[in-house]
Amino acid sequence: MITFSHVYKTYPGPVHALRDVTLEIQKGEFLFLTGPSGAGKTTLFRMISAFDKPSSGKVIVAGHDIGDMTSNQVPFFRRKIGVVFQDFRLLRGRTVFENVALPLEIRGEKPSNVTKRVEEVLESVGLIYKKRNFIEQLSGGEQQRVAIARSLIHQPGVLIADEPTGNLDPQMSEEIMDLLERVNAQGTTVFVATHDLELVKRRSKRVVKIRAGEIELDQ
Amino acid sequence: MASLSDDFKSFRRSWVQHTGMQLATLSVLTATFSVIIFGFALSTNLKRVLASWGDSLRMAVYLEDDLVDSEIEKIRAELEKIKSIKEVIFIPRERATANFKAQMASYAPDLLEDADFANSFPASFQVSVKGGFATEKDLKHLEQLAAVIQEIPGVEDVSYGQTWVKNYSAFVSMLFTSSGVLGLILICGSFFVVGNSIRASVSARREEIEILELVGATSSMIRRPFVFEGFVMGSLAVILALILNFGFHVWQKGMMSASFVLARLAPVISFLSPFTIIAFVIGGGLVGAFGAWLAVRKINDGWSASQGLEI
Repeated sequence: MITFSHVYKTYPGPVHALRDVTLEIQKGEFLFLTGPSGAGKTTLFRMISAFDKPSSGKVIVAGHDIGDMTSNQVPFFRRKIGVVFQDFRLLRGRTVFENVALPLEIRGEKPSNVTKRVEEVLESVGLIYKKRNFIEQLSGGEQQRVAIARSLIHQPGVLIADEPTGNLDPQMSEEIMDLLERVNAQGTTVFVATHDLELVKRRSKRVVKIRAGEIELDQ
Repeated sequence: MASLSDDFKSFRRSWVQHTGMQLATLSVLTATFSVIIFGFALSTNLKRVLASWGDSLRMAVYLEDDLVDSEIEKIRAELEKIKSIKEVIFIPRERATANFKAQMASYAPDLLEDADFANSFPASFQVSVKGGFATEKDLKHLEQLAAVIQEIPGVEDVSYGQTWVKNYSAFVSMLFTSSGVLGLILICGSFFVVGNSIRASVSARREEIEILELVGATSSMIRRPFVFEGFVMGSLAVILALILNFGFHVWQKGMMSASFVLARLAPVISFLSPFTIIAFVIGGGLVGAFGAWLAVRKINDGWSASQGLEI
């Protein structure tokens, strides 16, 4: 599903963010990516979501070569993946419904289909009763669940989550991880970056540890 | 995402978030379009005045002294043969003298006492020209016509106030051209004014743009609300400028009607036609939209969220 093959990424400076990263993630897999700040986790995720290109090597996501992708192809590729961030990235001044519906509206889905699907997804993340609430009226955990609902609305093959529990208390973090496991159980490949090692230990999943841009451990 | 109501929502959000900036932009654009519309209306009305004078324009074809009646009739026949001449009226020497005396009696009675001066008017034909004149092209036609008439044997001179007509026509042409040039400069300035306002909107909504990119919005989807905002802003500014100009027109026309000298011109002066008004509103919208497009044409090239918005 996701393949990194001898990937290097160097930013001007030069800053070597990734060095010879080779990684294979199978379809339907649940994987944790851990490592200290500045280790290269975010760079790796930016490549998976086509926000960045490798300096050398190959990154293949759901059959798409990120390095060869033209700028016109990027938006259409992003419609096939789901992305969740630590800071939620939700549209302020809009309702829960409007935020979750966004990816389907962009794809030009019929309003009736959008309503049906948004309600299904909000039901699955336990927020159907707050669909008319504005984002500002929600707690951090609820906002993250809205972000996850938005990333799942178009049934992506891959869900990547960059520090999804970074701004949440331990109890809320567990709830979010449970939700991601349920998503994975339905067949979606889930790739979670976190520096919360306790949280990783409690879930017996594959863990990739990255340090100074290199993969240190894959177990 | 692509509906008109969403575009309006986006426009409303911009106004709510940057009311001061938007008002400043609207004011500058309104002032700019006011000048353009004023220049256009002034040039158009001056042309109308020129045309109204042109309609009543008469050529005076002065005849040589001592022509016999048969020669005068021959000249009349020659003049009536010319297609662009509408009417030919003969003014005998006596009537020309009487007309002059009647006109000058109150202004310069002393002149009338000079018998040599007051009785020295030649006979003439007063010639009306078809279509009058309103443009420099018409003026050239008049010049050619005068030259043809001048060649008729027995014609001493042809006069139609050449110098005055030429100067006025040149003045209107110059005004029209300079209004056009000034208009173009102001339109170019409008692109920058709209562009700056849209850049501020883009900057304020940078996070929103990144989120849209994240969920797969194409560049046209992201640019569209901003271009729409520019269109509405441009159209709104033209509407305000039209209202200002119309107010000025009503006031100006009232002043002219009250003035003894200009009252005759007041009915000739009119505001822009409905077609021109619509064209100005659409044109203003297009200027706004183009200014906005210039500002946002570089956002979202597929990788911009990672590189910062290239604006």
